[in-house]
Amino acid sequence: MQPSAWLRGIAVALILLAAVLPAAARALAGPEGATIHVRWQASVSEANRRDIETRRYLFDGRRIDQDTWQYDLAEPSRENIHELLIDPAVEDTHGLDRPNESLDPATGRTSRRQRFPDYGDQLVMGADLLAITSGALALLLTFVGAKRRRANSASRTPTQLGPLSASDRDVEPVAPGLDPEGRPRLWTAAVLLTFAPFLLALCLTLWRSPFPITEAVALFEDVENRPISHFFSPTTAYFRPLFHVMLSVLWNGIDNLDTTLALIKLVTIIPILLLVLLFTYCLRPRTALDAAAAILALSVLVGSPGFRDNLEIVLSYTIVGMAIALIVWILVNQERSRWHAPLIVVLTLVAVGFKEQGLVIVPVVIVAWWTGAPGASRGTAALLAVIAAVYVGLRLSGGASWELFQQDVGLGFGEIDKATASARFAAFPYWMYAYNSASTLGNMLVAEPTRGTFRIVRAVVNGEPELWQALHVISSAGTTGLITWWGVRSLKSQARDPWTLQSRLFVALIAALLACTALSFNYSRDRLGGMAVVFYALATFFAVREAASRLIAGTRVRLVMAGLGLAILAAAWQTRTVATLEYARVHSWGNQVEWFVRLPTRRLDFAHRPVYLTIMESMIEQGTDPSAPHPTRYPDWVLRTTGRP
Amino acid sequence: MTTRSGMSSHRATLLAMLIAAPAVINALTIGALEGWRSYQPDSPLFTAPHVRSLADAIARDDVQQAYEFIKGGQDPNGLIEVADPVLTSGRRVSVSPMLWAVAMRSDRSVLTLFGVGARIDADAARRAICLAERLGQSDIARLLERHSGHVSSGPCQDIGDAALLDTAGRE
Repeated sequence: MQPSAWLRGIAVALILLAAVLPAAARALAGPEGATIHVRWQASVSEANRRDIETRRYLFDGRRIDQDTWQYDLAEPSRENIHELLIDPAVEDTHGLDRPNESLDPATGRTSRRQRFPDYGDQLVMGADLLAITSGALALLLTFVGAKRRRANSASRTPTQLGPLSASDRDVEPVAPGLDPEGRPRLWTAAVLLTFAPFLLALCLTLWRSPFPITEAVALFEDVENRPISHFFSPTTAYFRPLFHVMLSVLWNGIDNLDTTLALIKLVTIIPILLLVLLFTYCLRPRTALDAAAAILALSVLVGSPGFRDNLEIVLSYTIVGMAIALIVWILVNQERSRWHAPLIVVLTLVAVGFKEQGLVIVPVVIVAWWTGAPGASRGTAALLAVIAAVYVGLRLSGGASWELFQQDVGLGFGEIDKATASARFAAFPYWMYAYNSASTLGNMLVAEPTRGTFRIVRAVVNGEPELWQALHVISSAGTTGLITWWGVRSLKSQARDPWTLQSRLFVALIAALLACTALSFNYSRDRLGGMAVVFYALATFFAVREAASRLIAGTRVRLVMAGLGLAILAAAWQTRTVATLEYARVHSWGNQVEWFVRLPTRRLDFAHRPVYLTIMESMIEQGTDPSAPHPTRYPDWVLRTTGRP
Repeated sequence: MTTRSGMSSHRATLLAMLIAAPAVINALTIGALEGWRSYQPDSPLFTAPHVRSLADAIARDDVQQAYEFIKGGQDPNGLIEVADPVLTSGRRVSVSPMLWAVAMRSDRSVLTLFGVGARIDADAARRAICLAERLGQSDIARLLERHSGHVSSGPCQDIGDAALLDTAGRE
């Protein structure tokens, strides 16, 4: 079978899977239950009541008053409801539509417990997520198939997507003793399989997370109250027009709240899936050692604070930009075609339109053009440079309305609120701006400081260092050291030969780091390093692979010592991937607690904003859903290793 | 005799295993943990211990379970039976959930109760505010003032160590 036909077959199968899975899972797991109340006849004995509860699938009985009980009706079929309504032991019910012998539409729905009492909902959610993943994979395969067909029709040697192009393989042969052809499908699958539990768990956690009251409700109020044109005014401090357009289209264009909220969640989840899938595809490991390096690089990607801090549901600005940055990097390293330049420009505009951190893509493309990347033309680089200059000019022209500091800033061992910072540094804020920028850079490279505050150093000074803090610093500093060693080597080889993909990537990484640094001058946050994390993780792959290649050719002692060092580095990054997953759960729980605790205060504070209150009230059910992810109650030693998010 | 390429291959495999092993262990652990979470979602590893009553939920500052009780039909303004070795001298007394939340110094439970419709009249608000002040919980006293709409006026009556007993006795 031709490879393209094989890809097409897989893509069709995946699309079918995506179409069938959700319905099949629902049919298998049965319908959602419902919360109902039953008032029993006073004469009904406990044994009789228990018998009826069992026969009518009335779970989790909770006594409300003398004769009234609340239940989870796990089998809400017409037949079961009919039997319940005509049972002489039942005096009255609430939550059932008696004439139609069905559920009252206003009744709260519960888990699918009819056939699989403990995991019916998880089955459906897993199927939904698998369907989304299958759909994304099908898109990816279609894209790859189209590319292959194009390459074949042009009678050229097919080029690989992304960093490991055929020419790079020629320039930089794989490690001695390794199969130069390799088995990319096998090892790519191995990498994805290793990462699948983390990825699925993370996506499921985000899918089931409630939206927060803070941020989410105000954003929805904004898009409901204001016309889309309002979000294109560059005078606002937070200029994210395309993000707001996306939100406005989903919020105002769909009548069903659940559907709207689900789609908004997907705007965060799909870029995460794309990031991991494209990252793996981009590296396409051919050997076991490649696969190991790719796994470590993926751990760096998802364990970095720049990734973790961009997982907030609804605040999808940067995670979208990160996925776009990776796509653009793949495009600039491919053979150029007619649609390359417009696609790169459009993607960059989308990333910038979601958040100005998208500007990081501009220097990356310029570096790609300067270093002779096949898919980056002078025109594309020039156009993006002009767009960036116009954008910055436009933003600065509206800067008069900006505050000196938009958010609280960290300094030394503490944090200063923005009003105090504005008063303290009003005369000359530039040192503080430089400090903020340096803090973001430090966070990306050595995991310290965080938000401008030297928390780990403070813990050491106070004699309270924790294991996770050491692991963060060691893993980040170790990886940065490895990347620096590899990068300098690749630049030295570049002095003799033309630019290679590796030397290009190293320069692009420096450009991305500096751009993130510059864009975080106003305040430092982990999330502001997100765009550079993509390139940092890609560089990790090459650095680890290069180090491994040299170790293989070295002495046995060196191999064992450095090999153990790499294993410790990999283990440290694994603790950080676990922390990322737990961070998502803690965030979900934090969002839910907001719905329990903040409602009354919000009702008072926002009494003059009826739209806000209406939206907030309509979202209470999703906010208080008991099935929302909670933090895992790990033993203390685990938390000391992974950190307490 | 081992060839040079054979030795290199062996070394490459060793290195790959060293680098990938933590990720494989992690993948298996996450897979097992998530499988267990799906199979036994009520395991103590994943959920807080189940409480039997609204009073227990408030005492543990477990706002989710407190919310579930009220969502399940329990009246947030109805009386609940509580006991505390100090605050009620070990006796069982009936108090409002709000007063119990104040006694347990749980500002989150106070807010949750207000959020689900708990209401207190001026007299009850004054007693709750006095109890909060007696327990050194000025923040809770301010919350009560703001959300009940009643500002504490006049001096509080003497409240002893059995603060809740003294306050509840006047309910």
